[in-house]
Amino acid sequence: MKKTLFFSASILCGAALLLTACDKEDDPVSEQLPGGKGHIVIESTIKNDDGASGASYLYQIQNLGDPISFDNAIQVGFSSTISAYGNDIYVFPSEMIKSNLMIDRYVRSNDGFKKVASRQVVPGSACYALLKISDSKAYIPQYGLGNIEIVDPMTLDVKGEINLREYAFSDQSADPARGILRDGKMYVALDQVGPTWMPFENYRQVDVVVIDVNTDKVDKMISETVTGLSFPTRPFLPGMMFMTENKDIYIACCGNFGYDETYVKNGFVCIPNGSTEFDTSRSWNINETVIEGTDGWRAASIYNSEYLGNGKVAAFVACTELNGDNPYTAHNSIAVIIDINNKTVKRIQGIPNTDPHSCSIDLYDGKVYFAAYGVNASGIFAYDPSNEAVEHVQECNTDISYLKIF
Amino acid sequence: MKTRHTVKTGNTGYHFIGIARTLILLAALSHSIGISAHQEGSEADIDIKGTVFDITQNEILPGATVYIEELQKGVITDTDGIFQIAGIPEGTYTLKVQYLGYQPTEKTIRTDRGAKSNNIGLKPENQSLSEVIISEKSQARILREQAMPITVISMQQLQGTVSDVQSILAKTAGVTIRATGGLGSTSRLSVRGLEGKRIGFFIDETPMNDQSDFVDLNDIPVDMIDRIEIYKGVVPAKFGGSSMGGAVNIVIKEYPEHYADVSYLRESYNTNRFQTVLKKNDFKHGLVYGIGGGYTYADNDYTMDSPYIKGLKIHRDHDNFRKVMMGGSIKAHKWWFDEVELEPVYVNTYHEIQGIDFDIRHAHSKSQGYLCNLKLVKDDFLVEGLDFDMSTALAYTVYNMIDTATTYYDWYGNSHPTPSPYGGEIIGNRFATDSRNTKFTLLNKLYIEYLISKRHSLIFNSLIQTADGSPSDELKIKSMGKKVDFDSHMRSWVVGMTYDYRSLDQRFLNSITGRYYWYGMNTQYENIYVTSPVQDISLRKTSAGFSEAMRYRLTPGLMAKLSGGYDVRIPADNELLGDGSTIAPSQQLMPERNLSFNAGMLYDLTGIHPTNLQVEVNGYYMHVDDMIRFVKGILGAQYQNFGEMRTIGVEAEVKADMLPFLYGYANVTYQDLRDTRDHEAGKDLPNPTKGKRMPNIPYFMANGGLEFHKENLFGGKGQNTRLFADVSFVEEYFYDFELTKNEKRRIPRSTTLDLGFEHSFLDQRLFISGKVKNVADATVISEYNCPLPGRTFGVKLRYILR
Repeated sequence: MKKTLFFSASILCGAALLLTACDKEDDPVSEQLPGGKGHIVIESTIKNDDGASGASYLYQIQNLGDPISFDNAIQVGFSSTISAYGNDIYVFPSEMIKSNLMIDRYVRSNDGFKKVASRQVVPGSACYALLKISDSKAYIPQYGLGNIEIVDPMTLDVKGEINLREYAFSDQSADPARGILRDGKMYVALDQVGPTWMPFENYRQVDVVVIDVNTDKVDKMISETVTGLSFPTRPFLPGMMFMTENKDIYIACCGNFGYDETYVKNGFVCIPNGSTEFDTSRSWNINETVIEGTDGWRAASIYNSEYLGNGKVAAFVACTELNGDNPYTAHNSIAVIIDINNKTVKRIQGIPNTDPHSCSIDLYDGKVYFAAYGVNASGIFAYDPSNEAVEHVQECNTDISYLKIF
Repeated sequence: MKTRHTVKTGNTGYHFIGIARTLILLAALSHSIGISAHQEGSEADIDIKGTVFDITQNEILPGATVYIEELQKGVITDTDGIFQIAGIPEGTYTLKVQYLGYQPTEKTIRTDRGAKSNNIGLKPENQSLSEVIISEKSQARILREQAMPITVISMQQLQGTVSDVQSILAKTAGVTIRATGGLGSTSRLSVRGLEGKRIGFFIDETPMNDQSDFVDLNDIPVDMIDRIEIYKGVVPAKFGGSSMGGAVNIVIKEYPEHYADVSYLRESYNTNRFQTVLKKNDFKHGLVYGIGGGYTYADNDYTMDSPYIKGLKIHRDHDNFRKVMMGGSIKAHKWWFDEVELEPVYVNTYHEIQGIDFDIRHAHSKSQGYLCNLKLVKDDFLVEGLDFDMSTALAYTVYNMIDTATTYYDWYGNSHPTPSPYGGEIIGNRFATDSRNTKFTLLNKLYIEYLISKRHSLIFNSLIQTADGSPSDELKIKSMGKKVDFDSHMRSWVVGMTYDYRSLDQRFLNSITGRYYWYGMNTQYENIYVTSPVQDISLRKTSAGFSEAMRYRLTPGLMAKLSGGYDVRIPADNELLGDGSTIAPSQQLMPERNLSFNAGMLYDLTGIHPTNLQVEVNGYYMHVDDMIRFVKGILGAQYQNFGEMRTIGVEAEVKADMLPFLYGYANVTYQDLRDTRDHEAGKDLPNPTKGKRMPNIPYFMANGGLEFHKENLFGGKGQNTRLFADVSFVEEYFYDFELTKNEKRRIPRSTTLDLGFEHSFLDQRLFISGKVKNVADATVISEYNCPLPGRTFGVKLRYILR
């Protein structure tokens, strides 16, 4: 009896071992393109409680209001940044936590995403965006290394480099963020951050290098030192540098992201059309302006912006009144309309306060779409500038790090 | 302390059931065995004391019977192999000593005034060593029969192995080792999916968790270990209540009169380990002196596939690890305390930091630790029936992290300037560091058991810990422009009361414990992102927990166990305060809490049947709130609470002597850990990962192995040969919540086969052993993107002088 029991038990455990040791058949390769069908591209981020780690997923949905599913999503680096030109989608490696050190170029269609090119980046280079000049030329600023790679936007092959290290303040990288092209010149904002990824206390100014895209040489560096604004543009958000109808370049400046109550300057600097210098008379520290629709709050940082026309800018701005202990998880930013001509800031009612992972803004079919991750509601909120109406058009229980409606 | 029950309840105790020879002898003994020797001692002037040990291995024999023929009086040796017979009139007696599997012996003794120590060596009967050890009523068996779920890896399983402690543990049901690299690399022990500091690490019941950065599981020479106890779920009160979900207690061997043990291990990747232990047991004065040490050196220069760059092979050339460890001990058995033991230990390590995503060439760490432990044990402390066991450990540690290179390299040899002009080769840190972090810790563990009667006992338990840390890093301050690491002072106290009940026939055991937890911390905090006034942090937190465990013996070989508890684990100081360099502070960290239930059946024929069959099945449920997790973020790693999760698991294990010369084992574990949060922290929104399997935790593992053993296989005398094969399997698991069916970050499935041999000469004095780990050179990764060495070879030479 005992022997029988022993051998039965042995066989059971042995069988378990054998079964488990067998190779699992690979899942059948799906012919379906990854990412799902649709024309609304979303990057969802599910973060850990620290807000500085987690996982992100890139996918499409067909219609606003469709249920969100990650089944066919493409996992990307945590809060990976994305650049889009037409149907070319460039996904950058995450710098927040280690991920594959690759820039991937996908071509999207309504059937999904097809990866067509990949290139490895230098670890620590902190590439966040691609700035396309033409079909054969693009720039990739390397925040960590202090230079700009010149690449083929189709193949991502490196064609050259623009070294900006001589413009670095105090350390070895000027932290080139992103740029905007005007009249053959690329205006590249330098974030000039210190060891804590924030502006140096003794260097609160806005630096921009002007690069001739024909020669790939730096013409000069220009600085706005009058207003005390700093941290021009966020490196991965294209709407933070924009041109008005008059081809005036405006750059949104973040300052200290609202987390230093002794330094809350933030706003816009301007390089007017016809000039390659700042017009400091058009610089505006928006912290000087009370946000309409609030209890006297003032913006302490601009987290994202999108120019709507006629001097109106849709934006997410941070308010110190909403700060929490953790800058990655605090719901400290609100959706606003900023009028850079009349110097007003007005809160958009009906869009929840959001955290820094969810501050995407997209323009589509006359409406402004805000991605917000609130305490009670989250997803995509449509704002109609014509009547200021807000509609919660898409529920999503994650942060939306990237939103683009095609 | 655990042996007190054995002595006091010996004649009817479950400990003795099934040992035929012992029962025969016991039947001849009077009921006086069941009466404490201490009780009788008050009536007479002379005690006979001594130790019973295996003469061939110089290892103590707990549970041996010692009997004075003329007086019809006897006792059983305790866990240290020590016996004491009190109240002996002056005269000459014949002392008979018996132990299953050993040749009985007799010794004529004359008693003088005062106690007399006698060392009695027994020779094994003419059968294989393995058979003897398996079939004895060993301490391992006694422990397995406790009410709590426990796995015991006995001396027999450890002997002669080339494996380190972690490798041995990894073959246990429900246990995995989460390693990041070669020898000296960061690794975590995981029991039932819970890992890190919540899993208690003890050496002879002394908590080592706070020193785990300095003393590693693998630092303990396998040859010095008597057994490894692995507690799962409910952890007994004697471990102080600082663990949650499990504990590992490594019990060090006792030694005979003279003992010297020298070994040298050589493994692949220039791994060298030299260890020695010297012991002198002065039975006359009841003193045991010991000194030991070890030197470990490893290059860990294996080649691995880059997890970041497809097709790139990386030769690890900056992972050198060196460790020196020296210790001594003096143990007294004849002072007012039954045992006084003082153990100083010195540890010195140097470890280079191996890059994986880029080529680190200079960053490294150093540490020094000075530890001292004092243990006091006394039975019948102040009053009869009151057992006292206290250990106090002091440690002073110095940890240096050096990252000052101003250039870093990618894997193609291109150099790049570090972001900070002061240096800082480790990407992500935009600062240089040259730290010197000192810490002084004190730990006091008190265990007092009062034996009310044969059936009832009360246990008071207290664990006091203090930690005072002082980080210093001028270079970091300079490169960051401010100070972010501050002195810290942490105090904690866990106090508990346990009531144990045993039925007279020992069929039923029950243990219920209540605990109270308090901790406080004072430090300062500076937000790393902004310059703001430094905040003073002062925390005081309390909590309470309980546990209940019972065991019922259905037949001599079959028993059922049921246990449950609500355990609290207060955060360790370095979880709260970080390490001053790579781990960021997390002052808001909450204690983690675990509601657990375990039900198990053990069918154990050890000593009852020649197969020594053991079949154990355990099912368990755990619900953990505020689980403390280690998470890597942008400016370093941090410990964080994770809302809540639940685990349902089952483990099955079978082991036996399948043939007289063949031992086999197999186990399988399925542990299903799921996110049960309704909402993300601070949200009212539904949690998108609710019900998903917890990431980065293996959920299905299996192990199996065979061991062939035979004496004088190749002729000659006094030789013993063992051949063994172990298979280990871990199913693929994911680094993140499994949300997409497309490609995702994964830790691949692994199946590894280890083969080894051991051959001893000169009656177990000279050992040569060898092992091939991962024979098929399978790719093994237990931490995401941290490939482990493939196939490795090792040989070990060991000599015992006695």
